[in-house]
Amino acid sequence: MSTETITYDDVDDPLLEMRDVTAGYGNTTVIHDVNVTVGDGEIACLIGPNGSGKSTLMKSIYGFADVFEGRVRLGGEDVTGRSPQDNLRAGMSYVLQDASVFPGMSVHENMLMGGYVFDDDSRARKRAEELYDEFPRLGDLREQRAGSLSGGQRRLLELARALMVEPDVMMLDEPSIGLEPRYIDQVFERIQQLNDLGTTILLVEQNAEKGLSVADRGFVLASGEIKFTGSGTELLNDEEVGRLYLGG
Amino acid sequence: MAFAQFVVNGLLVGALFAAVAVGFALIWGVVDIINLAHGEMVMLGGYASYWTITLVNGSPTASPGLALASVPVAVAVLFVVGYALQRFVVSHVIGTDLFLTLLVTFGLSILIQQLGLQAFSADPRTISVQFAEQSLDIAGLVVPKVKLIAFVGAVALTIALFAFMKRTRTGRAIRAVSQNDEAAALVGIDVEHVRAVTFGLSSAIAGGAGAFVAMILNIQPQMGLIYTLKSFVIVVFGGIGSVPGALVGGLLLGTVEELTAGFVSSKWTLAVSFTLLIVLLVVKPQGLFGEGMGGEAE
Repeated sequence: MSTETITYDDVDDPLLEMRDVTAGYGNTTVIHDVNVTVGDGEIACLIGPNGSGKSTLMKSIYGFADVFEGRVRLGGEDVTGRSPQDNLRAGMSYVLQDASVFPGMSVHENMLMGGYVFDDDSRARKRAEELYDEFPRLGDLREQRAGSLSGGQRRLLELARALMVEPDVMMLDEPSIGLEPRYIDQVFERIQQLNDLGTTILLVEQNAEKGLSVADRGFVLASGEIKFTGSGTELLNDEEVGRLYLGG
Repeated sequence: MAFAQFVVNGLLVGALFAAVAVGFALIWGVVDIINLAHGEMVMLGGYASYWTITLVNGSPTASPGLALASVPVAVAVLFVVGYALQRFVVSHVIGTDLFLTLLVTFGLSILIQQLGLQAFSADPRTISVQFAEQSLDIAGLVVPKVKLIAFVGAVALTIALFAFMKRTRTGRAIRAVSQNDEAAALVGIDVEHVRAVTFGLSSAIAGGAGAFVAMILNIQPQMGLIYTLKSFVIVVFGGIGSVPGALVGGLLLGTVEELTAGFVSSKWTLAVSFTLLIVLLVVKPQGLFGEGMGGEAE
């Protein structure tokens, strides 16, 4: 198992690609020469120790961090440094690690904010209703202030809100963080369902075993560099990865 | 009867304080800046209205219609001024030290005053609004028509802002930025633009209030400080970032000041206002309607 095991050239139908990306914030470089490719319809999981640059990698794709070198492509199109607005319109959405609901707004208002990039509100309202059918619990809570939701409900709202734009690719940063075990399973079931419906998922997960178990492809990031790549199963079974990053 | 008259006077002038303070609250809640140049937006609004009327009429004397027509001009001019100030100056210190943001807006305040002195001179000016009868007599209470217009106008500005925040897409974006700016960027809101629009709206409502101030009081380039101070008191009264709180706080402050001036002395109005502020900060630091420091703009 090594960085050569699977490279971006091995992916038949790449949807999201990072080529030789060096990125960070202002004068600080966090990730170096990173190559990541996620195929259309795949779940890819990025694992690594705290401070390794996992969140920065996602932020550099979405336009929240500065890309100093290299290119990011979505569906073959160069999207390096593109704004979040344009990324959303192009079919990419992102769920942050930290609580990202609007606490003073109702669940429904939060959902509508997920469709902020739509030109007309009626489209957002229609899409929200569709998602309430998929997430009935959220429909029941639609008038409740998001700030009063439990951690699991809030995570569900963040996921549903990110689906407002019907993304082709969805990036999830630590979806299980801070959740009770019963909610963790629900969140991963939901991720699997979304993927079954055709959404490509790039996942950062501290619970590495859980993340890799659902992943078609995995990446291990340490000190801002990709150290290992492989299928989720390969990484789970790799002794060195297990010893260094899975506590095995 | 004197008590009722002072209360009426207080409510009439308090609505203007409220309109000014609503803008102050908005910037504090959304941009997280205590804008010490806010009073200067009132001053500039007063001059925008004054010069509009003077250019149209050849003198600062206006019919009620012309006086009212000058208000949207002040609102529009101050929106542009506020937007530009945020985009080109204040945006560079957002998220830095509170002391730095205070210094920058204080510097802006002094700069605008000096530019005002150069442009308009220190002479006090006022807009003279012509009515056949200057006052109404309502149940024995004297209500000056020009103050009634200013009251209605100030309340209308405040309600319009409240409706804008609740019902428009941009209003929702402003509320989103005030609650969680990173999440706002996540859903595709251009946070810097929204902050500049917020600064523009805040300045616009202060400018509109300034136009009404110019109809009932003298304006001069160094008048801004007192409006900034009163806004601060009102916003803390009402609750940081709360637009309805600022409206109620403004009416309350106006009433308290008029009662103090009427029954004690006008020299004591600021002392009484700030004493109330201190008491409120000790007893109910979140204000009457707010969520405390860092509360959201609604």
